[in-house]
Amino acid sequence: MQQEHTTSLPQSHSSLTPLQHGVRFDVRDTSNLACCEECDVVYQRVELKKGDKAYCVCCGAELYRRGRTLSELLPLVLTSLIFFIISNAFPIVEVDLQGNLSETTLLGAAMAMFHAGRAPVGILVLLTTFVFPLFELLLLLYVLIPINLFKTKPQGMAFALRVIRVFRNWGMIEVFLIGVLVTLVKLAGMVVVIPGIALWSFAVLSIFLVLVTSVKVTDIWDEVEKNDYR
Amino acid sequence: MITAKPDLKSSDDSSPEQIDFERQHFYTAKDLSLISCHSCGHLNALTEDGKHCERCHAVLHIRKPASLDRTWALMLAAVIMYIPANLLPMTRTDSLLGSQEDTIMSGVIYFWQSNDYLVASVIFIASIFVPMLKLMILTFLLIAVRRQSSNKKRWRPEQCAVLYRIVEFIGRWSMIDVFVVSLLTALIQMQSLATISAGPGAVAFGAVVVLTMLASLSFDPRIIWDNYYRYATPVALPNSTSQD
Repeated sequence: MQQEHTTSLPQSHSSLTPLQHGVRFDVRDTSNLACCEECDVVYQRVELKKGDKAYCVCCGAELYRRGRTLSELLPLVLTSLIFFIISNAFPIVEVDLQGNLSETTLLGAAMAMFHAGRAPVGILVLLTTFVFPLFELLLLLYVLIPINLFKTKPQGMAFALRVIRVFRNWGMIEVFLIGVLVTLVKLAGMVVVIPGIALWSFAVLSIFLVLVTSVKVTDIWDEVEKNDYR
Repeated sequence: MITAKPDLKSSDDSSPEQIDFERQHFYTAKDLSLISCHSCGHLNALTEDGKHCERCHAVLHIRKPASLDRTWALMLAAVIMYIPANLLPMTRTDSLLGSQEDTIMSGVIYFWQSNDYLVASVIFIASIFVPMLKLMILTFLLIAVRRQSSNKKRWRPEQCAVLYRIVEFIGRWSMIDVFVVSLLTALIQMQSLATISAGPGAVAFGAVVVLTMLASLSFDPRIIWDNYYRYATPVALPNSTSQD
Protein backbone atom coordinates (compact mmCIF):
# COMPACT_ATOMS: atom_id res chain seq x y z
CA MET A 1 0.00 0.00 0.00
CA GLN A 2 2.70 2.35 1.00
CA GLN A 3 4.88 1.77 -2.01
CA GLU A 4 1.94 2.43 -4.24
CA HIS A 5 1.91 6.03 -3.01
CA THR A 6 5.57 6.73 -2.45
CA THR A 7 6.73 5.54 -5.84
CA SER A 8 4.39 7.97 -7.57
CA LEU A 9 5.93 10.85 -5.67
CA PRO A 10 9.10 12.77 -6.51
CA GLN A 11 12.30 11.52 -4.94
CA SER A 12 12.34 14.16 -2.24
CA HIS A 13 9.18 12.71 -0.75
CA SER A 14 10.44 9.25 -0.02
CA SER A 15 11.56 10.42 3.36
CA LEU A 16 8.02 11.46 4.25
CA THR A 17 6.82 8.76 6.57
CA PRO A 18 4.22 8.70 9.26
CA LEU A 19 5.35 8.82 12.84
CA GLN A 20 6.54 5.40 13.84
CA HIS A 21 6.49 3.45 17.01
CA GLY A 22 9.73 4.15 18.82
CA VAL A 23 10.53 7.36 16.95
CA ARG A 24 11.18 10.15 19.39
CA PHE A 25 9.44 13.45 19.05
CA ASP A 26 8.35 16.23 21.28
CA VAL A 27 4.60 16.63 21.52
CA ARG A 28 5.02 20.07 23.08
CA ASP A 29 6.61 21.39 19.90
CA THR A 30 4.27 20.41 17.10
CA SER A 31 5.48 22.93 14.54
CA ASN A 32 7.48 20.23 12.80
CA LEU A 33 4.53 17.87 12.55
CA ALA A 34 1.82 17.76 9.93
CA CYS A 35 -1.53 16.06 10.21
CA CYS A 36 -3.64 14.64 7.42
CA GLU A 37 -6.97 16.46 7.25
CA GLU A 38 -8.83 13.42 6.02
CA CYS A 39 -7.48 10.54 8.10
CA ASP A 40 -5.73 12.24 11.02
CA VAL A 41 -2.36 10.48 10.54
CA VAL A 42 0.56 12.52 11.87
CA TYR A 43 3.77 13.09 9.91
CA GLN A 44 7.16 14.55 10.56
CA ARG A 45 7.47 17.44 8.14
CA VAL A 46 10.12 17.27 5.47
CA GLU A 47 11.47 20.16 3.42
CA LEU A 48 9.92 20.15 -0.04
CA LYS A 49 11.34 21.47 -3.27
CA LYS A 50 9.42 24.33 -4.88
CA GLY A 51 6.26 23.12 -6.57
CA ASP A 52 6.25 19.78 -4.77
CA LYS A 53 3.38 18.39 -2.80
CA ALA A 54 3.36 15.94 0.08
CA TYR A 55 0.66 13.29 0.12
CA CYS A 56 -0.63 11.11 2.92
CA VAL A 57 0.53 7.51 2.49
CA CYS A 58 -2.50 6.29 4.40
CA CYS A 59 -5.42 7.85 2.50
CA GLY A 60 -3.74 9.70 -0.39
CA ALA A 61 -4.95 13.19 0.52
CA GLU A 62 -2.65 16.15 0.00
CA LEU A 63 -0.86 17.01 3.22
CA TYR A 64 0.90 20.26 2.39
CA ARG A 65 2.80 21.76 -0.49
CA ARG A 66 5.49 24.21 -1.30
CA GLY A 67 3.78 26.29 -3.92
CA ARG A 68 3.71 30.00 -4.51
CA THR A 69 5.19 32.24 -1.88
CA LEU A 70 3.11 34.99 -0.36
CA SER A 71 4.99 37.62 -2.38
CA GLU A 72 3.97 35.81 -5.56
CA LEU A 73 0.40 35.52 -4.34
CA LEU A 74 -0.16 39.26 -3.88
CA PRO A 75 0.09 40.22 -7.59
CA LEU A 76 -2.18 37.31 -8.46
CA VAL A 77 -4.79 38.56 -6.01
CA LEU A 78 -4.51 42.12 -7.37
CA THR A 79 -4.91 40.92 -10.96
CA SER A 80 -7.91 38.81 -9.97
CA LEU A 81 -9.48 41.83 -8.34
CA ILE A 82 -9.04 43.92 -11.50
CA PHE A 83 -10.62 41.20 -13.61
CA PHE A 84 -13.35 40.82 -11.02
CA ILE A 85 -14.24 44.50 -11.45
CA ILE A 86 -14.21 44.25 -15.26
CA SER A 87 -16.31 41.08 -15.10
CA ASN A 88 -19.00 42.83 -13.12
CA ALA A 89 -18.93 46.23 -14.77
CA PHE A 90 -19.55 45.10 -18.33
CA PRO A 91 -22.30 43.00 -19.87
CA ILE A 92 -21.57 39.30 -20.12
CA VAL A 93 -23.65 38.75 -23.18
CA GLU A 94 -25.99 40.62 -25.48
CA VAL A 95 -28.85 38.97 -27.34
CA ASP A 96 -30.74 40.19 -30.34
CA LEU A 97 -34.22 38.87 -31.11
CA GLN A 98 -35.56 40.54 -34.24
CA GLY A 99 -34.13 43.92 -33.34
CA ASN A 100 -34.95 43.65 -29.65
CA LEU A 101 -31.66 44.01 -27.85
CA SER A 102 -31.13 42.76 -24.33
CA GLU A 103 -27.99 42.42 -22.25
CA THR A 104 -27.10 41.45 -18.74
CA THR A 105 -24.33 41.63 -16.20
CA LEU A 106 -23.80 39.18 -13.37
CA LEU A 107 -25.55 41.48 -10.91
CA GLY A 108 -28.32 41.97 -13.44
CA ALA A 109 -28.87 38.22 -13.56
CA ALA A 110 -29.12 38.06 -9.78
CA MET A 111 -31.49 41.04 -9.71
CA ALA A 112 -33.69 39.44 -12.38
CA MET A 113 -34.37 36.61 -9.94
CA PHE A 114 -35.57 39.10 -7.32
CA HIS A 115 -37.89 40.72 -9.88
CA ALA A 116 -39.16 37.30 -10.97
CA GLY A 117 -40.15 36.56 -7.37
CA ARG A 118 -37.43 33.93 -6.83
CA ALA A 119 -35.46 35.81 -4.18
CA PRO A 120 -33.78 32.69 -2.66
CA VAL A 121 -32.20 31.90 -6.03
CA GLY A 122 -31.19 35.53 -6.46
CA ILE A 123 -29.49 35.50 -3.07
CA LEU A 124 -27.73 32.24 -3.94
CA VAL A 125 -26.40 33.65 -7.22
CA LEU A 126 -25.38 36.90 -5.55
CA LEU A 127 -23.52 35.17 -2.73
CA THR A 128 -21.73 32.46 -4.69
CA THR A 129 -20.60 34.55 -7.64
CA PHE A 130 -20.25 38.04 -6.21
CA VAL A 131 -20.15 38.42 -2.45
CA PHE A 132 -18.01 35.41 -1.47
CA PRO A 133 -15.36 35.75 -4.21
CA LEU A 134 -15.11 39.51 -3.67
CA PHE A 135 -14.73 39.18 0.08
CA GLU A 136 -12.17 36.43 -0.30
CA LEU A 137 -10.04 38.61 -2.59
CA LEU A 138 -10.38 41.68 -0.36
CA LEU A 139 -9.51 39.72 2.78
CA LEU A 140 -6.51 38.18 1.04
CA LEU A 141 -5.33 41.68 0.13
CA TYR A 142 -5.86 42.79 3.71
CA VAL A 143 -3.69 39.92 4.94
CA LEU A 144 -1.04 39.94 2.20
CA ILE A 145 -0.27 43.65 1.89
CA PRO A 146 1.04 44.12 5.47
CA ILE A 147 2.88 40.79 5.32
CA ASN A 148 4.58 41.59 2.03
CA LEU A 149 5.27 45.29 2.48
CA PHE A 150 5.82 45.71 6.19
CA LYS A 151 6.59 42.17 7.30
CA THR A 152 3.93 42.41 9.97
CA LYS A 153 0.77 40.47 10.63
CA PRO A 154 -2.32 42.65 10.19
CA GLN A 155 -4.74 43.07 13.04
CA GLY A 156 -7.18 40.21 13.16
CA MET A 157 -5.26 38.08 10.66
CA ALA A 158 -6.41 34.88 12.35
CA PHE A 159 -10.04 35.85 11.93
CA ALA A 160 -9.53 36.98 8.33
CA LEU A 161 -7.89 33.69 7.36
CA ARG A 162 -10.67 31.70 9.00
CA VAL A 163 -13.26 33.65 7.05
CA ILE A 164 -11.29 33.15 3.80
CA ARG A 165 -11.31 29.42 4.38
CA VAL A 166 -15.10 29.38 4.77
CA PHE A 167 -15.72 31.63 1.75
CA ARG A 168 -13.53 29.52 -0.47
CA ASN A 169 -15.94 26.58 -0.43
CA TRP A 170 -18.78 28.73 -1.66
CA GLY A 171 -17.20 30.86 -4.36
CA MET A 172 -18.38 29.53 -7.71
CA ILE A 173 -17.01 31.83 -10.41
CA GLU A 174 -15.78 28.94 -12.57
CA VAL A 175 -19.13 27.15 -12.29
CA PHE A 176 -20.83 30.38 -13.31
CA LEU A 177 -18.59 30.59 -16.38
CA ILE A 178 -19.73 27.15 -17.52
CA GLY A 179 -23.30 28.26 -16.80
CA VAL A 180 -22.83 31.25 -19.12
CA LEU A 181 -21.47 29.00 -21.86
CA VAL A 182 -24.40 26.60 -21.53
CA THR A 183 -26.78 29.57 -21.73
CA LEU A 184 -25.07 30.82 -24.89
CA VAL A 185 -25.39 27.47 -26.63
CA LYS A 186 -28.97 27.17 -25.44
CA LEU A 187 -29.88 30.56 -26.87
CA ALA A 188 -27.86 30.21 -30.06
CA GLY A 189 -30.76 28.73 -32.03
CA MET A 190 -33.32 31.22 -30.78
CA VAL A 191 -31.62 34.62 -30.83
CA VAL A 192 -28.43 36.25 -32.10
CA VAL A 193 -25.86 36.03 -29.32
CA ILE A 194 -23.09 38.63 -28.99
CA PRO A 195 -20.53 37.76 -26.30
CA GLY A 196 -19.58 40.72 -24.12
CA ILE A 197 -16.27 41.84 -22.59
CA ALA A 198 -17.22 40.38 -19.22
CA LEU A 199 -17.42 36.88 -20.73
CA TRP A 200 -13.73 36.94 -21.65
CA SER A 201 -12.92 38.65 -18.39
CA PHE A 202 -14.70 35.87 -16.48
CA ALA A 203 -12.63 33.28 -18.33
CA VAL A 204 -9.39 35.01 -17.32
CA LEU A 205 -10.66 35.55 -13.78
CA SER A 206 -11.42 31.83 -13.42
CA ILE A 207 -7.82 30.97 -14.34
CA PHE A 208 -6.42 33.51 -11.88
CA LEU A 209 -8.70 32.26 -9.12
CA VAL A 210 -7.40 28.73 -9.68
CA LEU A 211 -3.86 30.08 -9.20
CA VAL A 212 -4.90 32.04 -6.10
CA THR A 213 -6.71 29.11 -4.48
CA SER A 214 -3.76 26.82 -5.13
CA VAL A 215 -2.31 28.51 -2.05
CA LYS A 216 -4.24 27.06 0.86
CA VAL A 217 -5.01 28.89 4.07
CA THR A 218 -2.83 26.40 5.93
CA ASP A 219 0.06 27.25 3.55
CA ILE A 220 -0.34 30.94 4.42
CA TRP A 221 -0.20 30.08 8.11
CA ASP A 222 2.85 27.89 7.66
CA GLU A 223 4.73 30.59 5.80
CA VAL A 224 3.77 33.28 8.30
CA GLU A 225 5.00 31.04 11.09
CA LYS A 226 8.19 30.07 9.27
CA ASN A 227 9.18 33.69 8.66
CA ASP A 228 8.13 34.68 12.15
CA TYR A 229 6.30 37.87 11.21
CA ARG A 230 5.30 40.00 14.12
CA MET B 1 0.30 -5.99 1.34
CA ILE B 2 -0.67 -4.39 -1.93
CA THR B 3 -2.37 -7.41 -3.39
CA ALA B 4 -4.22 -8.41 -0.25
CA LYS B 5 -7.96 -8.21 -0.82
CA PRO B 6 -10.22 -7.22 2.03
CA ASP B 7 -12.86 -9.62 3.18
CA LEU B 8 -15.94 -8.08 1.67
CA LYS B 9 -18.21 -10.96 2.55
CA SER B 10 -20.59 -10.39 5.38
CA SER B 11 -18.72 -11.20 8.52
CA ASP B 12 -21.55 -11.28 11.01
CA ASP B 13 -20.19 -14.43 12.58
CA SER B 14 -16.61 -13.25 12.93
CA SER B 15 -15.60 -11.80 16.23
CA PRO B 16 -13.32 -8.75 16.21
CA GLU B 17 -10.19 -10.85 16.81
CA GLN B 18 -10.68 -12.84 13.65
CA ILE B 19 -10.63 -9.85 11.33
CA ASP B 20 -7.30 -9.42 9.69
CA PHE B 21 -6.35 -5.77 9.31
CA GLU B 22 -4.15 -5.88 6.29
CA ARG B 23 -3.58 -2.14 6.46
CA GLN B 24 -1.00 -0.60 8.65
CA HIS B 25 -2.44 1.51 11.43
CA PHE B 26 -0.36 4.68 11.62
CA TYR B 27 -0.44 7.02 14.56
CA THR B 28 -3.23 9.50 14.31
CA ALA B 29 -3.34 12.84 16.05
CA LYS B 30 -5.95 11.38 18.37
CA ASP B 31 -3.63 8.51 19.34
CA LEU B 32 -0.91 11.03 20.15
CA SER B 33 -3.24 13.24 22.22
CA LEU B 34 -3.15 16.02 19.66
CA ILE B 35 -5.92 17.92 17.89
CA SER B 36 -5.33 19.36 14.46
CA CYS B 37 -7.02 22.70 13.85
CA HIS B 38 -9.56 22.43 11.04
CA SER B 39 -8.81 25.97 9.96
CA CYS B 40 -5.03 26.41 10.03
CA GLY B 41 -3.77 22.84 10.39
CA HIS B 42 -1.85 23.55 13.58
CA LEU B 43 -1.50 20.61 15.95
CA ASN B 44 -2.60 21.51 19.44
CA ALA B 45 -2.15 19.51 22.58
CA LEU B 46 -5.30 17.54 23.32
CA THR B 47 -7.83 19.44 25.37
CA GLU B 48 -11.50 18.87 25.62
CA ASP B 49 -13.69 19.89 22.68
CA GLY B 50 -14.45 23.55 22.39
CA LYS B 51 -11.03 25.00 23.26
CA HIS B 52 -9.43 27.41 20.83
CA CYS B 53 -6.47 26.82 18.54
CA GLU B 54 -3.35 28.48 19.91
CA ARG B 55 -2.35 29.69 16.46
CA CYS B 56 -5.57 30.92 14.81
CA HIS B 57 -8.08 30.82 17.70
CA ALA B 58 -10.58 28.69 15.81
CA VAL B 59 -12.68 26.37 17.96
CA LEU B 60 -11.09 22.93 18.15
CA HIS B 61 -12.92 19.66 17.73
CA ILE B 62 -11.38 16.20 17.88
CA ARG B 63 -13.92 15.19 15.25
CA LYS B 64 -16.57 17.36 13.66
CA PRO B 65 -19.38 17.53 16.24
CA ALA B 66 -22.39 15.26 15.60
CA SER B 67 -20.97 14.68 12.15
CA LEU B 68 -23.07 11.66 11.21
CA ASP B 69 -26.33 13.03 12.59
CA ARG B 70 -25.88 16.31 10.78
CA THR B 71 -24.94 14.64 7.53
CA TRP B 72 -27.97 12.35 7.75
CA ALA B 73 -30.29 15.27 8.47
CA LEU B 74 -28.95 17.47 5.67
CA MET B 75 -28.87 14.61 3.23
CA LEU B 76 -32.45 13.56 3.95
CA ALA B 77 -33.55 17.18 3.54
CA ALA B 78 -31.74 17.21 0.19
CA VAL B 79 -33.48 13.98 -0.87
CA ILE B 80 -36.85 15.52 -0.05
CA MET B 81 -36.06 18.70 -1.99
CA TYR B 82 -34.80 16.62 -4.90
CA ILE B 83 -38.40 15.60 -5.68
CA PRO B 84 -39.88 19.11 -6.27
CA ALA B 85 -36.60 20.10 -7.95
CA ASN B 86 -37.30 17.54 -10.63
CA LEU B 87 -41.08 17.75 -10.81
CA LEU B 88 -41.68 21.50 -10.67
CA PRO B 89 -40.85 23.66 -13.69
CA MET B 90 -37.41 25.28 -13.77
CA THR B 91 -38.37 27.81 -16.43
CA ARG B 92 -41.55 29.23 -17.87
CA THR B 93 -41.36 30.53 -21.41
CA ASP B 94 -44.01 32.92 -22.74
CA SER B 95 -43.81 33.72 -26.40
CA LEU B 96 -46.05 34.52 -29.33
CA LEU B 97 -46.61 30.82 -29.72
CA GLY B 98 -48.00 30.45 -26.24
CA SER B 99 -46.46 29.53 -22.92
CA GLN B 100 -44.50 26.49 -21.95
CA GLU B 101 -43.15 25.17 -18.67
CA ASP B 102 -39.96 23.14 -18.58
CA THR B 103 -38.67 20.83 -15.91
CA ILE B 104 -35.01 19.80 -15.88
CA MET B 105 -35.71 16.53 -17.64
CA SER B 106 -38.02 18.03 -20.29
CA GLY B 107 -35.24 20.54 -21.06
CA VAL B 108 -32.75 17.71 -21.49
CA ILE B 109 -35.15 15.80 -23.74
CA TYR B 110 -35.86 18.93 -25.78
CA PHE B 111 -32.17 19.55 -26.49
CA TRP B 112 -31.51 15.89 -27.18
CA GLN B 113 -34.32 15.78 -29.73
CA SER B 114 -33.14 18.94 -31.41
CA ASN B 115 -29.73 17.25 -31.85
CA ASP B 116 -28.02 19.53 -29.37
CA TYR B 117 -26.31 16.64 -27.65
CA LEU B 118 -23.65 18.73 -25.91
CA VAL B 119 -26.07 21.00 -24.04
CA ALA B 120 -28.34 18.05 -23.31
CA SER B 121 -25.49 16.09 -21.73
CA VAL B 122 -24.10 19.05 -19.78
CA ILE B 123 -27.51 19.75 -18.27
CA PHE B 124 -28.17 16.07 -17.64
CA ILE B 125 -24.81 15.50 -15.96
CA ALA B 126 -24.84 18.72 -13.90
CA SER B 127 -28.49 18.74 -12.88
CA ILE B 128 -29.59 15.12 -12.65
CA PHE B 129 -26.60 12.81 -12.57
CA VAL B 130 -24.32 14.79 -10.22
CA PRO B 131 -26.93 15.52 -7.50
CA MET B 132 -28.11 11.91 -7.64
CA LEU B 133 -24.51 10.64 -7.47
CA LYS B 134 -23.81 12.91 -4.51
CA LEU B 135 -26.86 11.66 -2.63
CA MET B 136 -26.01 8.02 -3.37
CA ILE B 137 -22.35 8.32 -2.36
CA LEU B 138 -23.25 10.14 0.85
CA THR B 139 -25.81 7.46 1.71
CA PHE B 140 -23.26 4.76 0.99
CA LEU B 141 -20.63 6.47 3.15
CA LEU B 142 -23.04 6.90 6.04
CA ILE B 143 -24.10 3.26 5.85
CA ALA B 144 -20.51 2.06 5.38
CA VAL B 145 -19.34 3.99 8.42
CA ARG B 146 -22.23 2.64 10.46
CA ARG B 147 -21.65 -0.96 9.43
CA GLN B 148 -17.93 -0.65 9.99
CA SER B 149 -18.44 0.69 13.47
CA SER B 150 -20.67 -2.25 14.35
CA ASN B 151 -18.08 -4.50 12.67
CA LYS B 152 -20.68 -6.07 10.39
CA LYS B 153 -18.94 -5.31 7.18
CA ARG B 154 -15.59 -3.95 6.09
CA TRP B 155 -15.20 -1.67 3.13
CA ARG B 156 -11.74 -0.54 2.20
CA PRO B 157 -11.34 2.81 3.94
CA GLU B 158 -9.17 4.31 1.22
CA GLN B 159 -11.96 3.71 -1.29
CA CYS B 160 -14.45 5.42 1.01
CA ALA B 161 -11.95 8.30 1.24
CA VAL B 162 -11.87 8.54 -2.57
CA LEU B 163 -15.69 8.55 -2.67
CA TYR B 164 -15.73 11.36 -0.13
CA ARG B 165 -13.27 13.34 -2.25
CA ILE B 166 -15.50 12.86 -5.29
CA VAL B 167 -18.50 14.26 -3.39
CA GLU B 168 -16.47 17.26 -2.26
CA PHE B 169 -15.17 17.91 -5.75
CA ILE B 170 -18.43 17.67 -7.68
CA GLY B 171 -20.51 19.48 -5.07
CA ARG B 172 -20.34 22.94 -6.58
CA TRP B 173 -20.78 21.93 -10.20
CA SER B 174 -24.48 21.17 -9.97
CA MET B 175 -25.05 24.90 -9.50
CA ILE B 176 -24.68 25.32 -13.29
CA ASP B 177 -28.41 25.02 -13.93
CA VAL B 178 -29.28 27.65 -11.33
CA PHE B 179 -26.95 30.10 -13.10
CA VAL B 180 -28.38 29.18 -16.50
CA VAL B 181 -31.93 29.84 -15.30
CA SER B 182 -31.04 33.21 -13.81
CA LEU B 183 -29.18 34.29 -16.95
CA LEU B 184 -32.08 33.22 -19.16
CA THR B 185 -34.50 35.13 -16.95
CA ALA B 186 -32.35 38.24 -17.16
CA LEU B 187 -31.72 38.03 -20.90
CA ILE B 188 -35.01 36.96 -22.39
CA GLN B 189 -37.31 39.79 -21.34
CA MET B 190 -38.56 40.97 -24.73
CA GLN B 191 -42.05 41.66 -23.57
CA SER B 192 -44.40 40.54 -26.28
CA LEU B 193 -41.89 38.51 -28.28
CA ALA B 194 -40.63 36.19 -25.59
CA THR B 195 -40.19 36.08 -21.83
CA ILE B 196 -38.46 33.45 -19.77
CA SER B 197 -38.92 33.40 -16.02
CA ALA B 198 -37.62 31.12 -13.31
CA GLY B 199 -40.05 28.55 -11.98
CA PRO B 200 -40.40 27.20 -8.44
CA GLY B 201 -38.22 24.22 -9.43
CA ALA B 202 -35.21 26.55 -9.50
CA VAL B 203 -35.64 27.36 -5.80
CA ALA B 204 -35.94 23.68 -4.89
CA PHE B 205 -32.95 22.80 -7.03
CA GLY B 206 -30.82 25.52 -5.45
CA ALA B 207 -31.81 24.12 -2.06
CA VAL B 208 -30.66 20.63 -3.13
CA VAL B 209 -27.24 21.94 -4.14
CA VAL B 210 -26.75 23.92 -0.93
CA LEU B 211 -28.01 21.07 1.28
CA THR B 212 -25.77 18.46 -0.35
CA MET B 213 -22.78 20.78 -0.07
CA LEU B 214 -23.53 21.34 3.61
CA ALA B 215 -23.98 17.59 4.07
CA SER B 216 -20.58 16.79 2.61
CA LEU B 217 -19.01 19.61 4.65
CA SER B 218 -20.42 18.22 7.88
CA PHE B 219 -19.24 14.69 7.14
CA ASP B 220 -15.93 13.99 8.83
CA PRO B 221 -13.82 11.58 6.72
CA ARG B 222 -11.68 10.69 9.74
CA ILE B 223 -14.66 8.76 11.10
CA ILE B 224 -14.17 6.26 8.26
CA TRP B 225 -10.71 5.45 9.64
CA ASP B 226 -11.74 5.59 13.28
CA ASN B 227 -14.42 3.01 12.65
CA TYR B 228 -12.21 0.86 10.47
CA TYR B 229 -9.66 0.54 13.24
CA ARG B 230 -12.11 0.49 16.09
CA TYR B 231 -11.48 -3.16 16.84
CA ALA B 232 -7.89 -3.15 15.65
CA THR B 233 -6.12 -0.85 18.04
CA PRO B 234 -4.39 -3.53 20.12
CA VAL B 235 -2.97 -5.50 17.21
CA ALA B 236 -2.47 -2.98 14.46
CA LEU B 237 -0.46 -0.19 16.03
CA PRO B 238 2.82 -0.10 14.15
CA ASN B 239 5.74 -1.82 15.79
CA SER B 240 7.90 -3.21 13.02
CA THR B 241 7.52 -0.84 10.15
CA SER B 242 10.44 -1.12 7.80
CA GLN B 243 10.09 1.65 5.26
CA ASP B 244 10.93 1.29 1.57
